[in-house]
Amino acid sequence: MADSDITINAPDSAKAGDFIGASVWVKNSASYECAFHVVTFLNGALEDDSGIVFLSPGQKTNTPIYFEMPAFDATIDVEVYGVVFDPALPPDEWLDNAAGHVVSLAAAPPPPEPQFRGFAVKEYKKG
Amino acid sequence: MYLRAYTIEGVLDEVGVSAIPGEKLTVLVGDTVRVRLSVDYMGPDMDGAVWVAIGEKDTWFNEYFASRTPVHFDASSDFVSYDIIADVVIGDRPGTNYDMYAKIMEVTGPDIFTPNYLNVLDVIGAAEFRNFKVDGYEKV
Repeated sequence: MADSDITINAPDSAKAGDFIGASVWVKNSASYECAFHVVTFLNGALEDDSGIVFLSPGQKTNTPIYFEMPAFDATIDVEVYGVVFDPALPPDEWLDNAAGHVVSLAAAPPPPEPQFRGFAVKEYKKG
Repeated sequence: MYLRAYTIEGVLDEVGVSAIPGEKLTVLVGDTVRVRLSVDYMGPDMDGAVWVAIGEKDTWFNEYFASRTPVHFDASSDFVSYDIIADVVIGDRPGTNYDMYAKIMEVTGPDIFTPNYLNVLDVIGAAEFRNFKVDGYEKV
């Protein structure tokens, strides 16, 4: 299963506290059954795993992902592992053949702390 | 010989009806003083108020006339300039050499103060006449 068969629709950036929806489309363009799973990482740590999904030849499926950006410097990585389903091998070995596709979301920095400067009277007149 | 009559409004026109810090403005009781202020702001979207007070500064600032004007600051990651107009109604307290200051309040963090502007305002009371009499008469 080639990378071109994997599409991740997600915003380029988000603010802390935003709820993000992303969709991962995977199409099995091979002539044999494939399997994949979608893994998300928060700042490099495992956040979620869709589990293994099987696709028949030519089948396309969508795996939605929802998460909340927890902090301004958080990065969400979405990785899709697609493997050739070989029933002769145990699932752990499928991952050895994984084809990864990564998209990262970095939350936009929050507005700065309130700052004032140059507060002054410019003019006063009889109204 | 002729007599020239002056009105208080005429006198005020001659001394000017607007001033910048360092200059003095003369007004009448009941007038409104319009104060134009400016400030640069950056930060989150925020509401607040500007307090302008006129009075006498000694150990404390004794506020005789004051006004509160709501203000809003938009969220910005760079400094944005704001012009603020505040009207202060001058009450029945004539006097000279009044002082003025302003502050931004009701915002996150401490209040933001302007400098104290000293001797910026004279307030003239209601018109009064006294000793109106005939001093002499002659053939002309």
